Formats: sequence, C-alpha cells, structure tokens
Amino acid sequence: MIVTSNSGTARLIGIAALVTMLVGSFVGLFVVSPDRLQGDVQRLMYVHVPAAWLAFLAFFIVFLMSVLYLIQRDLKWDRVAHASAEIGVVFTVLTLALGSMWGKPTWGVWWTWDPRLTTTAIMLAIYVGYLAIRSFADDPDKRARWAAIVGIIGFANVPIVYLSVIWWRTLHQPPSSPRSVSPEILWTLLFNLLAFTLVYVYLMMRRIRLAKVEGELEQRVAYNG
Amino acid sequence: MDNLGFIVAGYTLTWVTLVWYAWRTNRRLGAAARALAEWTQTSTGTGRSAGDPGA
Repeated sequence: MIVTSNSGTARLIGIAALVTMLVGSFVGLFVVSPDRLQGDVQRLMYVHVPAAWLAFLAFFIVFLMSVLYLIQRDLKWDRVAHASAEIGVVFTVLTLALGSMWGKPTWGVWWTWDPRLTTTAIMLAIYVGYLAIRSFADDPDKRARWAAIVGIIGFANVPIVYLSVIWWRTLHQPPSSPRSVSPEILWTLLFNLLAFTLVYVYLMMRRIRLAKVEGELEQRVAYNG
Repeated sequence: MDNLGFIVAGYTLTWVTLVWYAWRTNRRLGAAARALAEWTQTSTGTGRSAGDPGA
C-alpha cells in the first residue's frame, strides 16, 4: 500500500489524519479529566507518547526495508526506508521537545542525562547519521547498501530505548499499561495513537512518491547526461 | 488549567511540525514532478508528463 501510492488515496488518508488529529487534540485538551497527581500538564502525554511510538514504528520499518533491500537489491525498499527514516527523525525531535516541555514542570528541568532521554538522543543521532551517510555516495546502489547497513545496525538501539526505563532506575516513568491508567485516559491515548499513525501513513505515501520521482529524475539525468 | 503555557506550547509545536513537514514534502514533490516533466518534454519533445504535479 505505501510502496505504490496514488494521490487520491493519499488525499483521503490525509483528510482522515487531519480529522482524527483535530478530534484527538480536542479530547486530550478539553474533554478527558486531568491526571490525579500531575494535573493538566499530563495532557502532553497524548502527543508525546504517540510521537515516541511512531518514531519506533518508523525505525522498525527502516530496519525491515533495509533487510529486504539487502536480500533483493531492489531500490524500492531503499526508498521506503529513506522515507521512514526522515519521518522517524521528525517524530523523534518532536518526542524529545515534548518530553522536555513535560519534564520542566514535573521534574524541574528541561533536560537530564536520564537513560531514557540519553538513549533517545543517541537514537536521533543514529538516524540523522543514516540520512547524512546517503549524501556521501552518488551511486544509488552503493548509497542504498551503506544506508541499509546503518539501518540494520542502528535499529539495535531502539529496543534499548524502550527497555531503558525497565533496565535502569530512571527519572522517566516506566511504560503505562491498561491496568495502570483509567479507561478514559487509555482510550484518549489510543485515539491519538490512531491519529498519529494516519499522519505517518499519509507522510509515508507522499515521501515515497517524492523519492520515486527524484530517483527517476536522477536516473534519466545520469543516463542521458 | 495549570501549566497552560507548557500545554499550549506542546500542542502548537506538534501541529506546526507535522503541518510544516507535510507542506514541505508536498512542495518538494510538486517541484520534482515539474522538473521531471520538463526534462521529459525537452529531451524527447513528446510533452509527456511523468510526474505528479497535482500533488
């Protein structure tokens, strides 16, 4: 679905993403009750957590597509990996910025070298590196091969980010479970996760299309001079 | 609502970032599709459009 997108489907998913984001933000800001301990600032969870989950998903797609590229040597997998890495970086920057805005009123600091924050910053550096390494090779196959290797090795850090709050005693809270939060909070979070997922799918469709058109242009210019 | 500034800043940042990225991608896609169509037109003289300029 995301490999060969067309404008009509992308537009429909874009509208669905916009509507669910509007509803999700409205419910998160005005409808759901504030957290008993943290108060209203906990409302940032409805954008911070989905952004983090989507960053994980984006980098998992990079890993999967990198493996597929190395097996099949088909550039379409590299295009999907490239698109997902770029979107994953956007979601990671958003996760860190939102976490900082949540951290200041709850922890008293904008940033601390907590294992979760540190491993997330490392994850961001890895995928910024993934994007940077692509500019060092002019040959599309060489570029895809280098990127795939980074995409596979770099993914090793993603489970470490997730497990950091379980493995080490951290300032960051451990992952919530359906048993530890009220149904109203859980459903608002899941709805916002759906909204962010639709945004991701929409962005992927447009970004893959862009990579395809740029690839065609690059190929024709290289072939004909 | 307590800590209103942080909440408003967080939601605003989320919306601005996602809308900006979608706008930037669509703008780049439009420019790349136009460049491809122009290149095809000048190199073959057929006028065939190969991109997705309406994106």
